[in-house]
Amino acid sequence: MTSSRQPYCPRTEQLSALIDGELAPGTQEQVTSHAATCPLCGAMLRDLTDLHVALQPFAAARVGFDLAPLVEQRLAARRRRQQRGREPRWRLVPSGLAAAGMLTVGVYLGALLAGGAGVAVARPAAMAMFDPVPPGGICVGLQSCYQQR
Amino acid sequence: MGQELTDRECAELSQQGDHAAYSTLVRRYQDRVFRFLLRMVGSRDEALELTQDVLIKVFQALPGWRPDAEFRTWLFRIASNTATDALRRRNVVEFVALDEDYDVPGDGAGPEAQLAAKQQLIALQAALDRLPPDHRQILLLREVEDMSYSGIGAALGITEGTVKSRLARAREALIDHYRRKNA
Repeated sequence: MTSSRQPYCPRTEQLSALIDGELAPGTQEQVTSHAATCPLCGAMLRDLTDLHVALQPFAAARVGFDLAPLVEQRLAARRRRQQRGREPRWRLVPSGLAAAGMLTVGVYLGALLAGGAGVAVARPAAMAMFDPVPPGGICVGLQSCYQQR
Repeated sequence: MGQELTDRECAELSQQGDHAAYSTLVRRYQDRVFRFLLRMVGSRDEALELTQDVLIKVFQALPGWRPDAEFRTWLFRIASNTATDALRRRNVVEFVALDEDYDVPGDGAGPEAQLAAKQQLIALQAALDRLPPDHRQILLLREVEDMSYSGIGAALGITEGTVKSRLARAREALIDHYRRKNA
């Protein structure tokens, strides 16, 4: 068959719109009657119709279960996250104060151990056993006493 | 027994925080969104995940929905953007064949006819996969979702004239790929 498209043949988009029922009534009649007599346009129209039929089983795909509870669960989790993000900042004040207090105490105790920072603290007598020179001793250790001589 | 709520009524109730109304919309549209995404991304697991993402995005975007917009069209706009993003993220688009247990409507046909129908669907899916995403989207919205040109235009953000020409090109290309695959 050597038939080719005629200049007056409708474009494919007219045939495509015809099967979708999207042509104006007058144009629809024109295109339909042309396709009935033109072998090329008739074949194209059949191909488009066959394609439409062949694609229909694609509509059969299903999820297979109810997605609503899953979606609701994910939305609830998001809501919780958002609520946490929106908590008032003043709620952070007590924990901030506690952290600052702990830090101050830590720095103070550290300064005591290092003996620096001009901190003078009355040493309780009971703590004397922890001194480098034990109570009643002359110096730190015997060897250091001899070395000094 | 109460009458079933329309999409618009459900959407309006959902906007007011009625979760049951939104669950109704989810049940009504989950399969439609799923099959659209399945044909777009080609993988059942990914389509399932994306379907949930779409339904969550829709709920979050609901405050911006206006009753003058058809809910289905608006929902498919979000689904279509989600599919495009997923394909873009993937960069290299890979498709999987139809599931082995894909149910071909049988209408009482024998096993040979069923097998032939299944093979035809596999060939069609392969031909569909070769189309650019914008052609695939428009074909699925028209052929499978049965949306009007104005609805497709609203969902994809294009004019009706563009819908008409793009759809015709997509159909021609699909027929061409299908024939070449079966030649």
